[in-house]
Amino acid sequence: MSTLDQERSTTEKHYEKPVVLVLTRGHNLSEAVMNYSLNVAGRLQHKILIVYVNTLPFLRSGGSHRERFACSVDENVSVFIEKGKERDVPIAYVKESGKIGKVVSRLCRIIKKIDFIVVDDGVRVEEVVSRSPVPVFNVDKPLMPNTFENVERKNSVRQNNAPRRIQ
Amino acid sequence: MTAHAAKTILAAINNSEENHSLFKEALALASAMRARVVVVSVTPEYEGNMNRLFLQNGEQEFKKTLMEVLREANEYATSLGLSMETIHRTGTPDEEICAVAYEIKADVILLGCAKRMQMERMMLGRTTAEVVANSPCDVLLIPEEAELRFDRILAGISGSPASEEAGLRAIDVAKSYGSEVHALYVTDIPTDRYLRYGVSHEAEQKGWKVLKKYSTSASEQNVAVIAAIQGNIVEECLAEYAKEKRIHLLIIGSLKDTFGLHMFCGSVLERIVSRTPCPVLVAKKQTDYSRCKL
Repeated sequence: MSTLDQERSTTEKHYEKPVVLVLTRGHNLSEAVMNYSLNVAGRLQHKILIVYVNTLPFLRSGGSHRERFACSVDENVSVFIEKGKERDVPIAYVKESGKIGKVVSRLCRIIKKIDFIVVDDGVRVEEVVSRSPVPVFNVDKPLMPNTFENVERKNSVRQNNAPRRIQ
Repeated sequence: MTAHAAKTILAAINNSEENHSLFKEALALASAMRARVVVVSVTPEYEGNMNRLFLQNGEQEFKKTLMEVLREANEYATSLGLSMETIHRTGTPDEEICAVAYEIKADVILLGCAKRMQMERMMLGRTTAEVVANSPCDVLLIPEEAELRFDRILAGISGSPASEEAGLRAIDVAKSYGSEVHALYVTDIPTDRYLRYGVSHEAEQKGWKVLKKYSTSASEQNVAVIAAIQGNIVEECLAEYAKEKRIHLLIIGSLKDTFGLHMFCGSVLERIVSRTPCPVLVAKKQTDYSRCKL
């Protein structure tokens, strides 16, 4: 390598470790996805890159909307970073805006070491899958014991499993 | 645009909407080319007086927004673990962009391009056209919503030396990225000659000759070319073909305009850019930087 080439520091330094891309719409990443991605990244010794995508159209609000979005993201990610430190998982984050498909496609082109993508609630998996060259996963929300949904599901299970009379 | 040697990409950004994701596309391109990214932002020189508006330091206020844009770009690159250099200048945008391109020995300049009407272009200036005319390297124009891909590329071939350069660049890109190459020849016959017997047929024959020569030189380098001829206004044909075939990148030569005409009609390049949905690469002969005096 010539001296000139050495001087030209290329952008290829990237991430040394493989990356888990965690994708969320808006400024709030759900706890279920947070925990799941931390577990997986810790187990596989991957890095986490959280992408907060602001999908609202470009608003001429003098930057106030963008500032609020940035503040909320910083607040949300600080919790995640704390958890990451406890488990020794490096975490980085970026704020994006625009269509989710385009953002995913671009990030996959920029960072070559993305192993898979975990998407949060509110992000359509099909939209991400269509633009992503890597596998995409979503995480089911754990059902809380006293929620209406849970009760309803229990009832339906009971009805299906009810003993039938044999004629 | 090829992915062989270490290269330098210069992205010129400002705080407008169409430049919002330009530096991100520059990073994506740099990742594919293994290039370094330099982002430049130019504050136009302001010679007026802002004291009436109770602005004591007008120049500083102008600078502040662009410095903020550069800071954001740098922050974005850092959070992705990438490196990016930022440069801020004050002066005439097109002159400063070209000056920086010479200084850093840029291999390609990235510019965002707004879809403006001719009247808007006349009023707001012609930075894109000026940069293309004076740049020492290729210029890649990326429309606001466009995405940089190289799956299908279209080269505008006319038989001129400038279009030959575009053709060569298309072959280079196709060799690097395995793209499908389309070559389009447009028979641009003046209206007064159009109705004469045999003129259009003659122009088509000439076109096929040019295309055959191009596809032969491409096939020597193992690149297959899909050739086509259309007869109409150049920019309309290129834009329609790009839309119809879902072209990802349009490559054209650096076209020279008749002096004075572009002021009223707009340059061909500007008209192409305002109509095409995909990024446009203006291929120029590579400058030997070692011979250049800054």
